Amino acid sequence: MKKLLLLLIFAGAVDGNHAMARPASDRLDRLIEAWQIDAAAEELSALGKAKASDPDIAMASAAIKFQQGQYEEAAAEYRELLPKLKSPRASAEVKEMLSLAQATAEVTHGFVSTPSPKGHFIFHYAPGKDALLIPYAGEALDKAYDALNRDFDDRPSSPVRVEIYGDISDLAKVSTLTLQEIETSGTIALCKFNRLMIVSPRALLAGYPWIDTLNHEYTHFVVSRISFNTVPIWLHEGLAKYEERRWRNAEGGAMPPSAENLLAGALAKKHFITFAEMYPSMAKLPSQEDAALAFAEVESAIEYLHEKIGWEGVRAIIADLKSGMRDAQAIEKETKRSFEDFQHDWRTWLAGRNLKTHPGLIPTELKFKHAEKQGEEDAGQIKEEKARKLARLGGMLRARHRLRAAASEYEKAQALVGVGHPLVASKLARTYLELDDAARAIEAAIPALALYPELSGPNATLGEAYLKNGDLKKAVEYLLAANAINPFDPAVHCGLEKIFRQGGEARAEQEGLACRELGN
Amino acid sequence: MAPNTIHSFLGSLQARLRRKGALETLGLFAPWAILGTLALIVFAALVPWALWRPLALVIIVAVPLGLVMFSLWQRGRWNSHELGALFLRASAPGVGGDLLSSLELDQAIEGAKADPALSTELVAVLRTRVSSGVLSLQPQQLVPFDRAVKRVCARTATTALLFLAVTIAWPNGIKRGFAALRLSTRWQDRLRVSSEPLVGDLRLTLTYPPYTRLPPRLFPDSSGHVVALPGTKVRFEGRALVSGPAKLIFEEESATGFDTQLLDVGEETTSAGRMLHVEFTAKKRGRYRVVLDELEEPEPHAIDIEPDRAPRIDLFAPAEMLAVNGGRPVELAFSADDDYGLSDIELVTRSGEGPETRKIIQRRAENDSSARNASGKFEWDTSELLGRSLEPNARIAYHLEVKDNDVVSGPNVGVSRTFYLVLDSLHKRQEEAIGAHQMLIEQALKILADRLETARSTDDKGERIFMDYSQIHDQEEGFLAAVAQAQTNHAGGKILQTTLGEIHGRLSKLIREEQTAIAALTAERHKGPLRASAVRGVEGMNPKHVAEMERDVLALDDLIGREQLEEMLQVGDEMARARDRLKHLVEQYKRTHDPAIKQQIARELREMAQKLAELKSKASRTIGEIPDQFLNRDAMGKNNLDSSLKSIEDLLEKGDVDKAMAELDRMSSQLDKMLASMENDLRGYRQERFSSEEKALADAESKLRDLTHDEEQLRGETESVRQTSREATQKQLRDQIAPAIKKARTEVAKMKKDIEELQPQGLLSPFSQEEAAQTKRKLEDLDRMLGESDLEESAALASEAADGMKSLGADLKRDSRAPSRRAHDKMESDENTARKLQREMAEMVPKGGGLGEAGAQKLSELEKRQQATRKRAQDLSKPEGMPPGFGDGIKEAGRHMERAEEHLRGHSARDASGEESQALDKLSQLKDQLQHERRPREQQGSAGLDKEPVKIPGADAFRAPKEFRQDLLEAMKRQAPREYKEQVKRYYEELVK
Repeated sequence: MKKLLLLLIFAGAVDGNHAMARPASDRLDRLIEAWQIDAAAEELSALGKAKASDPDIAMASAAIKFQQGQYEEAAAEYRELLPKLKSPRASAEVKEMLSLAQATAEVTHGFVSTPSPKGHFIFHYAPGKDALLIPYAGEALDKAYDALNRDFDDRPSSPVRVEIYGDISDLAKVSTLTLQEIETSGTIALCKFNRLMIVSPRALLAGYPWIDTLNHEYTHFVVSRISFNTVPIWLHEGLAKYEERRWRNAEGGAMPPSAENLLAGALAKKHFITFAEMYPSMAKLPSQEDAALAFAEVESAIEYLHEKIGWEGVRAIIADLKSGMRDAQAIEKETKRSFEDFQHDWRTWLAGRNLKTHPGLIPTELKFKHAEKQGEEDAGQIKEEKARKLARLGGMLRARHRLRAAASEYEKAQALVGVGHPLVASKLARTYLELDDAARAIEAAIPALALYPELSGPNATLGEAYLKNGDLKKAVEYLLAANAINPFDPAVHCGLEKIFRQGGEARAEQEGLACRELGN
Repeated sequence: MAPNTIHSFLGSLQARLRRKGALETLGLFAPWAILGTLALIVFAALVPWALWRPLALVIIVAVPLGLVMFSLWQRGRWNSHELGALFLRASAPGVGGDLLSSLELDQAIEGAKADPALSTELVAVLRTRVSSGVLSLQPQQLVPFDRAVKRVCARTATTALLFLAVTIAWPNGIKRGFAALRLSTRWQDRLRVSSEPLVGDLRLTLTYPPYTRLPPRLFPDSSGHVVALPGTKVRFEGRALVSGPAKLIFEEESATGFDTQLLDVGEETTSAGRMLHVEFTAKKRGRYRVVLDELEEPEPHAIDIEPDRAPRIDLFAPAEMLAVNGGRPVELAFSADDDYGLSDIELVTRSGEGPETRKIIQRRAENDSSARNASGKFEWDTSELLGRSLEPNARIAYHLEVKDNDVVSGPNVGVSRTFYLVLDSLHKRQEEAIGAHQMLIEQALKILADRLETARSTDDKGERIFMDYSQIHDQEEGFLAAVAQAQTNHAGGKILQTTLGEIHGRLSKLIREEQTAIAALTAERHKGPLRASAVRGVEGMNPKHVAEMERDVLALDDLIGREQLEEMLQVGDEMARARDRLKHLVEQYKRTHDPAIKQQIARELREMAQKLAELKSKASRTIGEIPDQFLNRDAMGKNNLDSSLKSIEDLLEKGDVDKAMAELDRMSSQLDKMLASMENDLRGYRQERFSSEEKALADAESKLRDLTHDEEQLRGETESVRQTSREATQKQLRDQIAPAIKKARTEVAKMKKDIEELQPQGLLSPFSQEEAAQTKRKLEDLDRMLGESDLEESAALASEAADGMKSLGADLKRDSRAPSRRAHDKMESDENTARKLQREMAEMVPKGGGLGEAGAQKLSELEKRQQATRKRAQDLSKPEGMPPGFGDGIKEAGRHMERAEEHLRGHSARDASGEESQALDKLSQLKDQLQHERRPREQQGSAGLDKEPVKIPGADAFRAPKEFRQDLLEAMKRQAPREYKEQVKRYYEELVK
């Protein structure tokens, strides 16, 4: 009887301890979910070792370590925790996290780290070619840090972790997305687990706007932090898309022709991706085209919202959401229009902008190098058979340095597909450039660039053409734009080196190094 | 002191005299003994006399006795000193006389003790003088041996030589003399040759070695002469004509003459007399004789060995020296025969002075080691040779070897004539072909570039323009010539040839037009420099030429891309074949742990690694040549195949076969995946670049699939009608036909028993044994069908059984022995019974086959559907671009469908079903052909990728041996199931060509 009593008292003590620990673990969980990792770490530290035996707190501790980038330690803690868990749900959750922590540790094994010039960011990447990205990324993100601070009034308390992966399969391993989802939606970067994750542009055939993307993800980071992760996806993506060029522009927005074309088409067809359909992630949308339309929609919605209520209003909406309001309520409160009316107004505003469709505009899709099949050959992207054949002949002649003949074939192809066809225009412009005809190269590239600013080819061609013409200012502009898309094109760095040397700029050394390394 | 000296001397002298006496005795006796023995032997040999032996025994005892006596006498002659002294006096009178006197005085002194007249002092003086005298004498000198020894030796040697000479000159006589005197201990020497026969009524039974499968053979009224295969057991039987114990002398030839054995002879007394029997095994040539009461037969019986001759094998190959690209199969044919049965047939290959490699191409059938001939064709996959480290264009000698089943003397080996194969490098030729086509593209691109650039030229001087176009025109003519040359070389596939032909046709027309214009301008130039306006005509022709060149470049580029992809796939295919061989070898190795197989495995692994490198090299060369999406990362080497191969090799080296097999499986699935992906690339490439051709094939395949589906349905429904009607008939007639069925089953049981009885009698040839087994099975099937009251099937089976028995009867008829004749009569009678049964069963089948109205209606409906299906099939034979033989195949399927219609119309569901099955077979073949055609790697018309075997010139040139054809013709007589009749017929026709 005495033994039984002691047993009951001990059991009660255990329960009592657990009950006492419960609010602490809840607080930790809430902080983690709200992207307040530093605060969570402080809270955990304050709890001391006495609380470490509690599974919930141990789980939070592992999560904090994981979010702080201590993947191996996090994995060890999850591993240690697993046998102690009785609830199947908790076990499954921990197993999933353990697997993620292990995969992340594996992917990032051997990574080196470099801080941004102002120290607001720390880049983690595999030693080698990706080191080339760091100076540009660091400079751009430090600028974005200041710009976003102005817009959102937030400064992350500790340096933001940025990881750069060599392949999209690595991104799939460290995220909860599958490779297929990544390929289908064209997801190339993520902001999750208290860090920014991007795939190196060298993993793609012609790069992608990787600095804009970093800026985009950083916007997510800021919005998640200040809103305590309460902002719905449409608003989140809208803000990130609107702000992604803030590192180079004074203001956000500036809709590219591809987005304009998509929105014009959506208006004409009266078919939009609804905000609800965007949940839980743009990456879950069925195609890259749908995702592109969704991004165009939310970007324009933020532009409209910003135009209507300014950054102050936007910040208020975020504050409302943080306080627990739903998006519809917050919008209604700050815009004085119901959510439906807001959407209606936005579409009316959009229709009033006289958006142009660009017939024949080709949706630019990301072309991953690692994919089993790279998709169609260059010329294969041209739908018109005759033009496709002519472009193929142009390519064959160009490969044999019969440039004038190649130009003839490309011109014939262009006559069939129009001056804005990105591939034909790029090839033609590049051929003119090789023929030392910079003027015609600029003439050929500009229409394509107007429609496809996100392509590196026309930017690089224009940069080189202007360099040949002696217009260094324009040359730098286009070459830097090209670099922000495909930094692994040696011609871009060689051009920049030439220009910076002429201006006696210190950056010439860095560009010269890149020019030589990539040229080999 | 003096008397001792004298006595000692005399003792020595006497001893020497005794020895000389013995020597002289020997000298006297030995020659006479030899001469006497010789004389005795000679007389005994010459004169038969029963007392020779007792006489010899007396002499044998008397002569040594006489010798001993004489020796003793001789010895006694020299016993006293006086005799010695007397001898000395005769030899040395001075000393000898004194010595004799001294001896006499010594005797007198002994007496003088009583006679004081004798002076002892004088005697002593004499003795002293004698003593000093004898001291100067040597007994050896006094009694010399030399002459005596010489005499003895001479006499003895002379007589011994005489004995030897007589023995050599007359050995048999000496032997006989010895035998007569019974001086030899050997039994042979005691035998006497009988002048009369000893055994009568000889009978031999030969039991041949088991491997020959020959039945034992009896030779009644034999002369006793044995002619047999080595290892044959011989049973000798005969009636003794002489009493006394019997033996058999059995002699086999050996290196030194004959090895002789004396065998015991069994005997039994019968009414015919005393019968002898004995068994021996004839292994070598020899002889035997019966011995009765120490009398041997006057003449031995010969044993002659008939050797098991080595098997004969003929090899038929496409050419004595054949150049073939590695990997292309070569058709080989062979015919082999042996007197008693063939074992494995091996293909033996050898490169230069390297070691021979053997591969069994036909194993001895487990249950049929008596197959005496073999014949056939096979395709030799020469890609297996690629695994060896051969020099380029290595000459490989090959021949066939066959062993027989001789387990007695060891297998005899038959060797065919040697042929030679030179491994041509297919891939090298392919690369050269691709290189040549690439050159064409380069030429065309240059012309295109020149024309485009000339057109862009801002030069407005007529002369300049004329010169440029003239130059381009010349280049174009050169290109045309190159196209014609490529056509002549027949390099590349059919499509490429067609394309080149089209290019040639179009371009030559354009060139002719341009040539006319240029010729006119050339004439005009004589008048002065050309103005720009004058060359407008030639300039105006340029766009047409540009368009043509653009078209030509693209067409050639498309084809070359395809060739490159196909070539890669071919390498992949070769890897897959090597993989298959490897799998088989590893499995074999697991079972046998044979080091030779391990070596083969190592070769195959090397070949795979080589192919992998080749694939990588080819794939790398396609970069920039074909669009990125058709480039294969796996083929470019981004795979783990290399490490897998290494791992397999290491595991096998460690002896871990199971793990090696598991790794091989992994490697295999990786290879399959890679091949599938490469196939997909090529398919995609073809779809993009050759869409119309691909579409036509895809459409045809789809239509063919539909046709096959519909025909299958038709057959299923026809079968169903047939089944229903059969059941109805059975139900309806069961009671009526029961007695007939019962009777028929009794007859079938008897026929089956007759066939079973043929086997143990050993009357059937191996071929007929198989025939008998098949006929027995037919009878069993017939019995079962009768049990199920299936009259139609029973009638068909009865007919087939009758055919079988006819064939057996024909075989038995060739043997004139009584048991064979009896068996033949039985077979003939059984055949008639079976035919009668067939007629009775057929008559019992009700008219209309028990279809009933519903069944008949259904068959009419099926006929209409069959007609519609046939029309659709006919339509399918029309589209162009189908592979060769496709149209004919469709027509053949159509004919079967047409016949099926006729049978459906005639309400013969059974026959209709058979035709439908044949139509289905044909459609299925065509489907395979289309799939094969669409499967890009095996694209027809690409000579470089030709996987057709190198055939023996004119398949008719290979004629199977007469016996083989006979066997096949017999087999052809047997009825095949109706559904397969046509196929079986074609199969046999093909075999006996």
